Amino acid sequence: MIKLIANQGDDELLRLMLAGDAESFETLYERRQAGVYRFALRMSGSESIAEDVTQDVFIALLRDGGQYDSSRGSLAAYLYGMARHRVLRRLERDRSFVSISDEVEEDDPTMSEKFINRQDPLAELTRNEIIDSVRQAILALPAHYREVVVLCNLQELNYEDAANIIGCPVGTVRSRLHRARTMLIEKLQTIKKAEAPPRNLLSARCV
Amino acid sequence: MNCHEFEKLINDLACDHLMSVAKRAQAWAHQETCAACAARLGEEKLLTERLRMVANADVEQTPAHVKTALLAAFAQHAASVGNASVKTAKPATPALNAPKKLTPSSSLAAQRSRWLWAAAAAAVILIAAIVTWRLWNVSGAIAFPSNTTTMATDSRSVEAPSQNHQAEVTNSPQENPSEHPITTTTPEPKDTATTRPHAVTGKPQSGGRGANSYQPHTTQQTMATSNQNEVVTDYIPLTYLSIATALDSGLVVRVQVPRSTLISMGLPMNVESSKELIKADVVVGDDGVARAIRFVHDLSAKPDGKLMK
Repeated sequence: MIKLIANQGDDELLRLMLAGDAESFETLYERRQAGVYRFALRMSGSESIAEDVTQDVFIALLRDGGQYDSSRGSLAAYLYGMARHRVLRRLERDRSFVSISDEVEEDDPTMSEKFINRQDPLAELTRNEIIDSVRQAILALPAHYREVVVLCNLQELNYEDAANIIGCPVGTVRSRLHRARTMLIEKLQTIKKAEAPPRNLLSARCV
Repeated sequence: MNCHEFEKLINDLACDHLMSVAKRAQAWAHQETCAACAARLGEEKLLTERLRMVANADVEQTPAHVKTALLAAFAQHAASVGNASVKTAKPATPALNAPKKLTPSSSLAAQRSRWLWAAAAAAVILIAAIVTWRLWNVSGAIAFPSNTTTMATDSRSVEAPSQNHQAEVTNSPQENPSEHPITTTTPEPKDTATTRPHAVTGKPQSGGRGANSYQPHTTQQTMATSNQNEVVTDYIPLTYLSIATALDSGLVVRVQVPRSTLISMGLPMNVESSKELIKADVVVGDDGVARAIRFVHDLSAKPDGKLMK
């Protein structure tokens, strides 16, 4: 039975879930939670917001899942759309507050464990620095540029799905993505220049 | 292929997206002859590589306690739905594994509820029609230009700072439930003489005073004149909602935004004047979220009457 449910499509799982089938809900959750959570995480940069948003999205699906219209797009796009709406609303609401949780996380010893690689510590450190700088650059983008990068480049959705989620034409997604990537390149170059050590070495000549 | 055309394809080239063989060949031929485009493609490819690195490093999962909470919520929800639908049915009805079937009693209740909703909706429409008719009779003596039908939607008590694009709405739709933002039957004045968004106070009083106490704003005539000189675009949805739903309710706020906003909406823009401010009307939903935007070009602002670039 479990195997049968696991092979069902999203729409069928939703139908069963709305009929009260707990296993369908669990399967649907397992299938889609990671994407929704990561989208919210990359959009907000906050694990607590991502958790809240993921929970809200699935509660909303539970309550209002009947409103989903498969002719307008996939269930995944519907979930991303709900997550997007909630993240933007949350960001708007929290804009006047400064979170201290990220600073705490930096001091968390378990976080530093992630950066330790037994094989090649230096390469792993460099890789993690790159990933961190790219994530920071993405977070620094305006929200409407950030979302196209997260959807198209990180979640690897196609332009049509992203347009469906954002609610704009495909051409807008393409132009926003183009502009967002140009901004990302500029930001990463700025970060790279800022992090580069100052060249204090002066040329010398033997007399 | 020139550099401009190459730039349009650069994302697809860097991400190895599908494209026609001819276009790809042309693009490769161009980048072999153009050093700037080759360097640009190199940057884009590097970015793509780094973004893939980030995507592959994204292994985060929702914490287990969220799943536990959701499963508990599901059980609670299923139980409540089950209780509602099988009130008079046998307790052993397998409500969880079958689609919900309404029992006769719940069907009657649902039918009654539907009638109640229909009656409430009819009452609201009737009240709105009466109020609109009274407002129309009172304001009929005031001559509005014909094209104020579109601009009348803008008349709400709002105050919007222009630089950070925030709009602080000072009245709520609940205060005037009869006012629909897209209505064309209650033209209200709005001062557009100044270039900055500002509070508009010339609106009918809510409550007992009604339309009879309506005093037109002193800048009404100025507004009426300036509206004739405005060219507006269609509303562009900012949310997942369709444009019809986005304009269903809410407030219209006149703001000033940088000209570069045109690009973000997929409209063409003159890059040289990207920092200039242009007028825009933003539809703010009842939840405070911007739903749609349209751009306004004031022909009277520039004597030569240039359209937005």
